[in-house]
Amino acid sequence: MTRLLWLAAFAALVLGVSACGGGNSGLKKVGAGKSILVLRSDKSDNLDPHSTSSGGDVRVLSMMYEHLVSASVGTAEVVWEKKGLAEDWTISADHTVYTFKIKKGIKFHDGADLDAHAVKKSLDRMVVENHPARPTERPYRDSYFKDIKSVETTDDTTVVVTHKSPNPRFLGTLGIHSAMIISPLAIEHLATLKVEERKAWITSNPAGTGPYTIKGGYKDGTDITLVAFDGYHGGAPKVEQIVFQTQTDMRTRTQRVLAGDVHFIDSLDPPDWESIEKNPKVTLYTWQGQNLCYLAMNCLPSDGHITSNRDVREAIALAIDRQPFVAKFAGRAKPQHVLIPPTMLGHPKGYRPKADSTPRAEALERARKLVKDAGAEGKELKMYLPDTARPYLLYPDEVANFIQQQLAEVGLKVVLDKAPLAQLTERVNKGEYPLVLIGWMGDTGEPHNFWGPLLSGVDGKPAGNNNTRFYHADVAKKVDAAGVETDLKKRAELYYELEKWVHDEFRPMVPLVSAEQSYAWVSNLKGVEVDSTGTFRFHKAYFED
Amino acid sequence: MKDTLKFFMRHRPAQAGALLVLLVVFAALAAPLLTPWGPRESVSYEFFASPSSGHPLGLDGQGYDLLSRVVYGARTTLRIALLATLLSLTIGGALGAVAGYVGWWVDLALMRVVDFMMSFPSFLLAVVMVALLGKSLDNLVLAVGIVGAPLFARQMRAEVLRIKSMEFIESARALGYSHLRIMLRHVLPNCLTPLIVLATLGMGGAILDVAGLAFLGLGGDPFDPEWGLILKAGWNSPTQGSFQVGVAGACILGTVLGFNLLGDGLRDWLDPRSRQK
Amino acid sequence: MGRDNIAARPYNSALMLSHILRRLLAAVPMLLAISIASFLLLHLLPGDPTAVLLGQEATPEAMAQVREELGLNRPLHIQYIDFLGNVLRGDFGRSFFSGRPVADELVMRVPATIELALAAMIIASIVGISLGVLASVKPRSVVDFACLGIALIGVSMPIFWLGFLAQQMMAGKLGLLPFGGRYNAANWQGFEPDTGFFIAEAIFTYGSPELTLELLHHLTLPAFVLATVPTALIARMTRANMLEVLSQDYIRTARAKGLAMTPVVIRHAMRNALIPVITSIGTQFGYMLGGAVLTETIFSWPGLGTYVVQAVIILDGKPLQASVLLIATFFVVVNLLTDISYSIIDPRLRHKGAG
Repeated sequence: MTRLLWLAAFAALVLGVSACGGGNSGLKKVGAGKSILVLRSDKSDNLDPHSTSSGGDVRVLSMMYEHLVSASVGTAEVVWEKKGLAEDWTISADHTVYTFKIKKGIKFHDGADLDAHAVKKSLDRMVVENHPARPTERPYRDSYFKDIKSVETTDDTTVVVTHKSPNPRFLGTLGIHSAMIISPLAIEHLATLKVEERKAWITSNPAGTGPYTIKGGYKDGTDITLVAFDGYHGGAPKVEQIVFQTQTDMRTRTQRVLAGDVHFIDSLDPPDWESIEKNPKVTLYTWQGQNLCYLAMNCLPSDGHITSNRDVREAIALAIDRQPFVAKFAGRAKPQHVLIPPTMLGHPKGYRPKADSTPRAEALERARKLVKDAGAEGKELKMYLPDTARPYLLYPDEVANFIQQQLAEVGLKVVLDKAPLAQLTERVNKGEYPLVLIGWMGDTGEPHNFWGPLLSGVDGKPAGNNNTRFYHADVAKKVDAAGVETDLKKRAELYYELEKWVHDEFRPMVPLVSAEQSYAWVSNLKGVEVDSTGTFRFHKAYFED
Repeated sequence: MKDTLKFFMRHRPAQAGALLVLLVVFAALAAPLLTPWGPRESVSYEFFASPSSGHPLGLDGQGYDLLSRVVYGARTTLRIALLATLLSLTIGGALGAVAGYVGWWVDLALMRVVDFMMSFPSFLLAVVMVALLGKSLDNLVLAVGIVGAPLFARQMRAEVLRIKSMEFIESARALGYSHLRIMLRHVLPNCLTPLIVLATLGMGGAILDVAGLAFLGLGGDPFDPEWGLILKAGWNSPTQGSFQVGVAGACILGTVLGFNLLGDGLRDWLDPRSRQK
Repeated sequence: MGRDNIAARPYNSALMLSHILRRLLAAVPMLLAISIASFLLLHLLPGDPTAVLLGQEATPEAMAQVREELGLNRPLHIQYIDFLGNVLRGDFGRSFFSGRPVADELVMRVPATIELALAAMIIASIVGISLGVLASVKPRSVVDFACLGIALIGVSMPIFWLGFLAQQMMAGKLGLLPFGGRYNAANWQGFEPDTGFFIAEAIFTYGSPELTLELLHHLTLPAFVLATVPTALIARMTRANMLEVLSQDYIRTARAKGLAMTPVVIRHAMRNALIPVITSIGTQFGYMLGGAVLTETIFSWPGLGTYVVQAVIILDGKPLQASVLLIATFFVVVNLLTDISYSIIDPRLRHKGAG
């Protein structure tokens, strides 16, 4: 009996090996230096540029899709250059009409030609209400695309975008992923699908103009293989394939790049940076990110949280001590007291709201009194925190715990609710959270990119990403005014005024830190391009022997 | 008593097990005496500071004293394991006793339930239960306790069946004692021994399961002093946290080992068949 | 052996057949119960799936329409029948968060776990049985104590910690084995297998020895770590059974007659001692399919365990439901097969009852 089994097993093995002779021809061992393995902290579930708001998706999308404009490389501030899909543009004096000249001879992955009509078709998917090919959600639409009156083509290479009101920020808007250009063929196909199926389809069938694309469909949220698009207008990339894998675990990411096992990783532990910088096997890239980690406090009275009481919010601001947050970053993060991060226009250098400049002992005492007087003592506050690390929040649990401790000192009980980032917006908009520990990364280098989505709103309601649910008509008006101011200096002034007004007067959030961010790659990988928005690209990358 | 002592004098593994368990129990009870710091008392913002005279194991990533987290962790871990095991024992014991004593369709129905629960890998069943109950250490206890119950139920049922057929039960019934009295006075005391062995071994299993679930991030508050959570917190910091991972893991291993050695020893002692060997 | 007590009766093949039939019949209500439980699981989970499905811009009408389409308005028993029908057609619905069909994911993830569990089981069987046999041949020797020690530490070891140590040692310090993952995806182009049985696909579909080796290279560390507990259990069981058989009269007689512990004697004893061990391997394999969660997490192994944990953390109902259904069904089937093979291989054992 046993012998028979052995015989069968042996026969199977022989058969298997003989099958090796006539193997499938599709498989190819990629030569050394032809493939980059990226191990990143987040994953991609939604590769529909118009529907996602997750950085993990954007990193992959940036390899496959392109914008009309392109962000500068090597500058601290973001400058929009004419190296994108538009070779030139003109802006009317009042900043309402933008006219783009589209480059010729560019092809999409699916073979469609890029022209003005294709650009219109793609932008319309963001702009038009109830667009027939719209995705289930367009989180950037309210803040960025709603003021567009029309997108028109005047000939095959000219696109004219007309705004309802002056919009000096529109180049920046075109630089975010929501303005990535999708092939017209793909959009036509999307319109034939059910709304909830569109995301999955475009994820598996990307159709952009970028240097890489997905071949053979998208299979797994944690493992994405991109292959070079030979028809890329910037010349075929040297590296044939890019594999994105996900490792939320910082330990494993770091160890694997040090072992040379993977080529590129993001978000390293700041206390390790010094030693990694000295390691000849790895190139470490760090930069002061345009990001803000903050604690949002629900201001909307109808949500029924005690944080709708301004005194309670003031007390929370008084109770927060930023020292441990900075220490968690080994000093590679700056304590933040205002909304706009330090390297950006509109950051009032050295300014601190009153609560933040109160001496610690006095601040705690005042906070306790405010809490007591508001009748909030011992009240429970639910606080959202993301379930995975973010570049501005490398240690969500630790930071949340510090906040918990600090607020306990003034008599508030914080209850933590850890959930995926993908659920945040929906639950915030249901008014579920009095407190939200989260952050924001600038996509465009524009202060409006912070004020608009985070502390303003549209149609008398807080914007979709506004976790504070704070809406004040005058603030919103002022934010809008700053957004349409075309004189840079005047704009900066307007933002300073906003900062000096909103935090002291309304206190919707406690800004915590603005962190340095990091990438690391094996040192024989050259030509990695990291632009001023922190997006990395590999179209010029190669391996040195 | 003399018998017990004699057994322990001879049985080296049981000695080692008892020693380990006593050590953990001591650490748990004497925690405040062993360290001046509370398990959630911020010492400084020098995260992962190396061991020093004031902090024999250094600090953790939150600026807490690691030693105090470990000894208070013994408290949490023992409490959790005890509660979970007691839960398994109570639920499983009750189900098994009723099934075995009443028999007939009750037995059939209850044992189908037990079979049903056992038709699923226990660790994963616990994971799913946490999904339904919500993430917290208390719910982990509940999940691990419930998942462990079927094992006790089967053992209990077998024991009750064995004892039920014995003569003294027949005579008790002939004397007209109530079922409840027979059950409590005659049946239960006689089937306790194997259950105690199972419970001792179950303690080790419960500690492992709870630590594993906590490690997966299903434990609620990540800074409760529990060894699985301490391990996970160290894991999150690539180079700095390794020492902490080592310490927490060693604690879990030592304690589970202790309970398993003790359980094996008890089994050898209480099970006459293996005692003869 | 937690098997049912079946009173000793004379053995005959008709009885055996009826036993097998009864086990088969008993499995049917079990499978039904499992399907009901996993169906209800979705309804017990917190959260409204339709809101997630449609997103922010959903109108109440659209929500109602989707509820209609998903059949969430109909009576529960009708929904259950639909669910059962879909499952039998291999349709497990879509993930609420990624929008992708669950079946597509399972096709990759289930085989990943089976591959890992199978490798672990092979390791555990070889190491465990050898250890147990060696220990029993020379009781109270160094080998015996080593066997007992390994058996004990194996069941006491927090597997995630062992994984950590193994990783630091083998992958970090020595650099002999990879940290995790199934293969180095950057090395290959065009490896797009239809199922997650990567090793089988590499051999049979792609015929690439090189890729096979790379897959095995990645499989080694997690498989050894996962094998810890079963190795311990098998070693312990083998040792105990061998000791029992070796102490039986016929062996003792043989040895008294001057027959040494020759290979012949050992082999003879093994034949009797190993039957329960081998059948228990089936049950343990079922356990490992679910128990691989921690190992998969540490070694970034994209298997069923990590899928379930992810689904639990973000409360994604359909993946959770499908996984639960699948694992439980698999478990029942494996147990059934084990049980049947048990009664075929050695009907005598049925009469010994539970121990």
